[in-house]
Amino acid sequence: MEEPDTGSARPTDPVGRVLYRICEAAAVFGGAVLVVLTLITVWSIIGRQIASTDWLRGIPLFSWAGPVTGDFELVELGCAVAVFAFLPYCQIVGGNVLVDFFTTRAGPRLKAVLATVSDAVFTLIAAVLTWRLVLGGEDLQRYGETTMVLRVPVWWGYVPAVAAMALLTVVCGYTTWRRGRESLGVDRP
Amino acid sequence: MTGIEIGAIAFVILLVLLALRMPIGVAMLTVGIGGYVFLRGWTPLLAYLKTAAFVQFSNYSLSVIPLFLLMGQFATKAGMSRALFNAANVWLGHYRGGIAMAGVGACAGFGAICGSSLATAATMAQVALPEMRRYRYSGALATGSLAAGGTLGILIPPSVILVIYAILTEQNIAKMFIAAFIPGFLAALGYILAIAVYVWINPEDGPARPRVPLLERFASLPEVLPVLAIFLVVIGGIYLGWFTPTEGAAVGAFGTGLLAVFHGGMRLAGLVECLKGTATATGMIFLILLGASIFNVFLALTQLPQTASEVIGATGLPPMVVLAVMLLAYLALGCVMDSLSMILLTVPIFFPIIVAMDFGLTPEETAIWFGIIAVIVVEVGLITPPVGMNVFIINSIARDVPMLESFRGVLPFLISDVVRVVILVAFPVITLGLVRLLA
Repeated sequence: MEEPDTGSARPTDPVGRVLYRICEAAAVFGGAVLVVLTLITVWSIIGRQIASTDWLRGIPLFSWAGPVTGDFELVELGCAVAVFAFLPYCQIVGGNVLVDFFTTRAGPRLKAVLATVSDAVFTLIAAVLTWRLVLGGEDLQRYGETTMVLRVPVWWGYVPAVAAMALLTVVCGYTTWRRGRESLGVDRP
Repeated sequence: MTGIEIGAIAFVILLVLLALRMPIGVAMLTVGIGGYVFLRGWTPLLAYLKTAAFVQFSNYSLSVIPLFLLMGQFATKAGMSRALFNAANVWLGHYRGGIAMAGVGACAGFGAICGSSLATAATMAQVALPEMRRYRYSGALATGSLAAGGTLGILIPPSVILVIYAILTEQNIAKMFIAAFIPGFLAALGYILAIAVYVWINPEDGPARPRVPLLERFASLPEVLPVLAIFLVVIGGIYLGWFTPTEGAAVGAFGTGLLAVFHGGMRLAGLVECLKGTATATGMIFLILLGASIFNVFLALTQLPQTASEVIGATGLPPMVVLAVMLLAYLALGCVMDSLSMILLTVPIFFPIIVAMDFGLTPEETAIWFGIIAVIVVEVGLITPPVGMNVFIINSIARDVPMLESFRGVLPFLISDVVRVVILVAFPVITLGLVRLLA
């Protein structure tokens, strides 16, 4: 009985349209990061297999072969960035599942009121998470924390993450506002 | 207030928030944060939140999830659903109910490259429904078989939910996949039997169609080789230790991506669609994962899981009775909640209870066995009334079939599910045999 909340499909008002475009771009960017990670990983596996196979390693053509340095770290950082980038898009298309069991018979107005409350809570949580993430990133920058192999500063990953969380906060604020208008009867749900 | 009371109250609040249509991830975050602050105050929570989200999202074992989802998205564009259905159909279609059996078989095949039930059901429905309708299959059988067949997507590895169970309980993902193999095969077989019985009682629901020449039947087989190849490389490679599960998922995404481009004719627009599909599914799952992790940190503070395990252990109830109660709870919850949230909410409580009990298995075997059975039972929720998501998806594609008709069509498959669960519970060796053999 879980149903993605499709009540708030693609927005039609000017603010919503702009936000939707930004979220869409972020989602496609995150997806592109995943595709790149896929390619790096496959390349790394091939290199590693060749390097560990005696007769293949002997062939001069394969002398370059070996795993991509720090491939695991790239996957970790890249996946984190991708996941953060996905969150605003998921929220603006109403992709977060909810339980639609006890309210199947509720009217659109009541559903809009409940959605307003949920989205307001989510806005608050997203805002707190963004704020904490900024501080967390600053800590890591101060301590100069880097990844084990590639020595990439970990706070670099926090920059896109903070941007995505800030976008999520704005999107949550926007959906709260829109659902609020619907619950007040200003807009049609 | 004792920890148990606080934990129990938190669960009640969580259920109330869920009933009030709060998205599951947000509800878990809310109760988790609220409970944490109630027990320990703001300062430690704020410190924890500085890194919690990033640490979780950059967890290497969790990276497997977006990559498997990407793999599944590409699989829907690979044009393999038609090849799989065709290959099954030419072999089975001339039996009574055979086209529905072919639909189930093709779902099982598709489940081998796609870890999601909804995607499997929706993709197979596109090709199998028109064929069944053409041969005058009843709406109930056509939609029921595909809705049930879709649940194979989650059971047959790779499976997103098995991965999450494995991470949650610190089990070996490869062993979970191997263990799911025979139960998944039995599920497909059970559904085919269900169809056979169904058309034996109602022959007009699934009339036989003319035979296909043998030569043509064999000609259909090479078409599905890419699916088999990807499945064997991904699952075999993970099992043999050629690569980690995350790397295996990347290999799978690479393979289905190539298929989508060269066989399915995917171009830039299709790629963008896949990326957005991955974004929605990943965003939804990770919001729930984040919520569940904070909720579970709070739950651990209340010591509810530990105490519950001790209390139930002390009652001296037979392990099988405890297991049966849990499975019934899953069936009931399945009418209300989605499978992922059910697993994330219940496993922290149920798992310590189960592994502390003596089923005559090693702790690891108990964990694997329980995980497979739990995932199966949880998936039943996808086809149970009043709101089974798989039935909804199929029904939205088969617009001429009334919803009630679809739910009626699902009934034989539900019976098949229950029988299979009883068998798997009674004989753990069915689930664990392959794991022991390959160990």
